Amino acid sequence: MAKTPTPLGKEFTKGLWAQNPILKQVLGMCPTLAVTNSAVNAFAMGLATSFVLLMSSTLVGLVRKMVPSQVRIAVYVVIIAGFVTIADYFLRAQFPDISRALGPFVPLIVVNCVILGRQEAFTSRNPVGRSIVDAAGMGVGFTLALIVMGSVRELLGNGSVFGVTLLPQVFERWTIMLLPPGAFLALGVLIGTSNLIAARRQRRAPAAQ
Amino acid sequence: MKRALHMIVVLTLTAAIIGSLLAFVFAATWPTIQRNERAELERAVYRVLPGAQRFEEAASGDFSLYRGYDENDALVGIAVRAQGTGFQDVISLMAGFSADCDTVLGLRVLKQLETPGLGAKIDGEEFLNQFQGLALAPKVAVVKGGILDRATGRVEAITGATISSKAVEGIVNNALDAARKAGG
Repeated sequence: MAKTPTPLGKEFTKGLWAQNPILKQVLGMCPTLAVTNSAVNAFAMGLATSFVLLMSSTLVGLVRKMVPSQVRIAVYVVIIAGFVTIADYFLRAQFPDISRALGPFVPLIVVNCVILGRQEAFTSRNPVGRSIVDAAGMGVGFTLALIVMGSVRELLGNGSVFGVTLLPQVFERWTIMLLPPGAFLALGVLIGTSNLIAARRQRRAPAAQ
Repeated sequence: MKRALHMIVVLTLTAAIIGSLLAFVFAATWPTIQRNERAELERAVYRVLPGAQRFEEAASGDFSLYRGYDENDALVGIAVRAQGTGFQDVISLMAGFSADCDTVLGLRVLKQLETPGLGAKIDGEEFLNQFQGLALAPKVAVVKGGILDRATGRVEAITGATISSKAVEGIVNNALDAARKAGG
């Protein structure tokens, strides 16, 4: 990959669509399913994860050459866990309501495989600047996908998006969308739709590939 | 040998640097976190003890008690923080009782993870307001399909969420026992 460098812009945008962590890599499913019952929660989760991803990629990118490969995973995990704890304390201090709504899922960012996955698959083999761009793209892609999930579930389950009521009271709320099964329904339809769009695009522009 | 030493040095350094960073963040945020928790507690106590201007903490067994006093230093009532098992997870409540423990002054939900749209309605005004001014004769009774009757302590359960409603009944009555034991 280092021999034929991809443009930096593409390194960023691949996280949004072509390699979106949720839609294409299907990583980080635990927060995706658990905290997307409202758009606000999804947004906060996305931001917290992006922060940890960005900071971890930066630090790992800076120290990667000094770390012996035998202990690299241990070093990555210590770094990730450190930033997760920082994010957790920050949320508890500044946004106690959001922190309460996310509950144990903020500390659980430690085991979000998107983050460790990026360190292992990208940061450990690329220069630090490129890794930061990659992390930013993955973070934004992850956050956007979570927001879509959260908005759809909140709209159908509670008639609102980001707490703003959009559907009239006549619309019977689909309570199931707020419950765990709703997360699976929304995720399935979301990934299916994104595959459909990708397939259509490929059919329309085969020459461009 | 050299490689082993290298590994140990790198791991130790990483842990030390991240550790000191954490110590710094902890020192910076901890006072705010405690202040938030305190503010939340105060808000709940003053909501369930209308008219109270200040309160004193006391403990009774496993319960935290808060005696609220008005501006004339007269005892307004006792707020009790109690929890119990709901439909899915622990429900944590703050219940306010009059000084002689014969009326509920107010009830707040501190934490609940009941089913959204059904059990979660225990955190709704419609359900909680029923408890305001409820006579304890001698206990709270949440009745399925019942009608609110403040004089006899009967509260209407939430339709489709009998277990959550009954859980609230049990927690409030436990809190009441604690308040009575503490000698209201």
